[in-house]
Amino acid sequence: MKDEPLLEIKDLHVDFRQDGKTVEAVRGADLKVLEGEILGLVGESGSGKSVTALSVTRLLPASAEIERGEILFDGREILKLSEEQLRRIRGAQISYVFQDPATSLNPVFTIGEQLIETIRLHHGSKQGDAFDIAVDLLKDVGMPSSKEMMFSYPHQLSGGMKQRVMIAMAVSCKPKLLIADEPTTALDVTIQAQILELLEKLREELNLTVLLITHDLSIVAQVAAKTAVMQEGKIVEYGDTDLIYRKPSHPYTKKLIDCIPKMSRR
Amino acid sequence: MKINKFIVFGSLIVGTMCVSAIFAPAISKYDPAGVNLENALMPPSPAHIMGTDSLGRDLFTRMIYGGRVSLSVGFVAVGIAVVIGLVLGSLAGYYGGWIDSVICRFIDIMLCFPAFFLMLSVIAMVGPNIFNVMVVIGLTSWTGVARLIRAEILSLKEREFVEAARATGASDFRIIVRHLIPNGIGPVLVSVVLGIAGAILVEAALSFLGLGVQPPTASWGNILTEAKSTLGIAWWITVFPGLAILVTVLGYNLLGEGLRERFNPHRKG
Amino acid sequence: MVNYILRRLLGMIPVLFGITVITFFVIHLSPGKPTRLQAEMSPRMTLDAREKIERLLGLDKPVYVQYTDWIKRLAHFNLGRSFTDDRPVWDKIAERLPITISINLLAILVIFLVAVPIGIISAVKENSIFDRISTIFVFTGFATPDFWLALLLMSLFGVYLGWLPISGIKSVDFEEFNFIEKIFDLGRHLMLPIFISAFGGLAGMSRYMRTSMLEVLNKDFIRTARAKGLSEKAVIYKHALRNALLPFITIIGLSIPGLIGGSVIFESIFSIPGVGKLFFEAVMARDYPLIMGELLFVAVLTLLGNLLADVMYAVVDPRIRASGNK
Repeated sequence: MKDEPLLEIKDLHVDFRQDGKTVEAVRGADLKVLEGEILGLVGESGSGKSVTALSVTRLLPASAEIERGEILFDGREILKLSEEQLRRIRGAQISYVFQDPATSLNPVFTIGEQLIETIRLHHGSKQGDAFDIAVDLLKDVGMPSSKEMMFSYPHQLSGGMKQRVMIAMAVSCKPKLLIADEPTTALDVTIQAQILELLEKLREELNLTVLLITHDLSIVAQVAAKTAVMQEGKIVEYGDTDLIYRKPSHPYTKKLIDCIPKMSRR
Repeated sequence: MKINKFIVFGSLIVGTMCVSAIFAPAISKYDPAGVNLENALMPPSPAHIMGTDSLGRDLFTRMIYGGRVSLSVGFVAVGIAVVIGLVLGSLAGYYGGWIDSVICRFIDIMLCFPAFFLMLSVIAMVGPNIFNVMVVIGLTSWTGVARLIRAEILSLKEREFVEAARATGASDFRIIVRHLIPNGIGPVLVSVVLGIAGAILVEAALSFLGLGVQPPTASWGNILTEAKSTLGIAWWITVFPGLAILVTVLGYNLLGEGLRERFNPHRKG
Repeated sequence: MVNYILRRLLGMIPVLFGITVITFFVIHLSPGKPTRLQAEMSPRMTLDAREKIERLLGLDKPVYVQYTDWIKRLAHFNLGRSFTDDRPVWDKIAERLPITISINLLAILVIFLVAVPIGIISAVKENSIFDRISTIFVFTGFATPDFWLALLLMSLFGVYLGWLPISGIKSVDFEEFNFIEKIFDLGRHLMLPIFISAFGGLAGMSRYMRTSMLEVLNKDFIRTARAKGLSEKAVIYKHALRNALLPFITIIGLSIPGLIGGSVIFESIFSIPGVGKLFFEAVMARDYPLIMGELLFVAVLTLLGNLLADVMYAVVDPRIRASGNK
């Protein structure tokens, strides 16, 4: 494990402009993710964690503006790259898994088509090769009858299966960083555990670095080595997960921990 | 509150048209039916700012009186459509069950007929005159309002204020009329404004074909009938009535769009 | 899929029935018997002849018997005979149908080719100059009476510039043309009618496409597509467009009654021998069998058009196609 963080965010400020009004979503966030580790980014809805996540590859909607700050990925200054350079990073070096797999997959294309699209885009493989790679990927993420799956449409799959497909798509080009924004929030509790296991397994196999975003501290407690707590656009606590759990220093963190029902705490 | 450009412009145009229609006799001294063959087909001049038609009548005067016709047809026709639509739509939405099925089926059947064909057929049966035109347009355009109010009532039906009203012993009629309709009236209002625009266009088309308002009563549509035979000779007979229709309908459309934005500000596009 | 079509066809039966009821009702709206107006218009008709016609048309029987008789005749595709020339109504409609359908199909094509790009660009470049200008055009288009536009274009292109013919579908010496010249001649004659027919739909459709596209562009899967590193072009034309076109197809199906209704006007203005002009002439002559027959025919056509649109939608949307159910 290198000492230089794979991803470093310094003093990030992001504003939203709608109908003449400005809302400060992120107000000076600092974050470090070391290679090969899982960092959990926790906070309530509206704390700015998703906005921070989307800023990493400048995927924000048009109404958002990155006012100032630095985002360093693998030594490169994200905010200074051109659109073309950014696109080469997206999907290939940094990929995303979003919260609701039902709406995150295009309903009119098959699973296979959407997987192959990513593979061909970044590797330039031929259709046949990409097909095989995709089938293997589906096996890897634990999809049953992966060959038939290739020809199914998203609406034919369950929530858990859809999320596995999203994950497969995200790791298809062996990215360095995977950003998972509330990957289990829309799923049943039993499936949640499976998905988290899958993420852990992939992290080991591919030496994946994961930025896991969630409002649920118990999830972070299960898989993340380090935790960052976000409140109203700022990072208020950062450190080893164990430490934070046992000795939270910030009152907000204390509140969050107190909210977890006693049984699910480690 | 942001000033809505649509409402401003729309109201301006609509207002001007309405005022000129109401105060027609004050605006122009000419008699709209005053035949004066010596002056036939004269181009626009200071005496006749829009020229004269083939019977020597002042076009501008006929236009203003025609505005009266168009506006009254618009209001009455839409009035009829709204009444029918509100009644049927409310019944369907509130009572549900077989009443809803029957009414919805009825709407589906009505929608299979191209409106214009239906209108022409009825006019063929009952004869063309301004009153029949109003009724016919009303009878063929209520379906939109019915569906809108039905949808609104369906979604409002289960809310607490309805429960509360029922708990105080309000009759169904009272609930529908005093509570549900006023709350769901937004989209219907938009529909009314746009409906007036549509009715004006339809009346013009019917009159143009000779199946609407009959001469010598002036209607923008039937002035254009004459335009057909004077094409190339008297451009003013073609241009002005059409322009009047365009501007008036545009006014109502703008107003309608503005109202729509007001009632539904979070809708994109 | 076949299930879907069968179920839709079954559901159509009550509507079909309803259409016949309404048509029948409309025709019998006339105060007094249908033959009265006919008699008023042709004073030569003696009382005797009038009674003969009434008996022939079964007008002396009670209403419900008339209705069932009529339905029975309909089942044999017998729409009666026209008052004006005693020819079968069905024949008169059938010979004019191809022209009206061709013009309207071409109009739909024009609408599609123009409205879709305008809608896409307006949505992608929301609030740009292009968007604002096309919005102005759309609103003006909505407000323009199509018959007035026809008159304007006729006087401009037909009378003042003399570029395009303003009536009929063929020139007088059509038969003497060779194949290419015939196509060219037809084209010149049909250009204005097709444009007028398409005009009404253009405004609405491009607006609708814009809305549809804007909705789709806000969806999550578009964000996923961008997150995968796809070029903006691929995101818009591959991922977004396919989704935005789906409702558009149904709407085109729903605009069929509007197009058919509109043909009455432009066919009359341009003297096109189509179904619309036939209807107009029937109305003017109070030719009841013809009016009735055409009204029914056109309503059924609309019904079939809607079915076609639904089927096309089911074919194109995998959510319906793949599970066979809606």
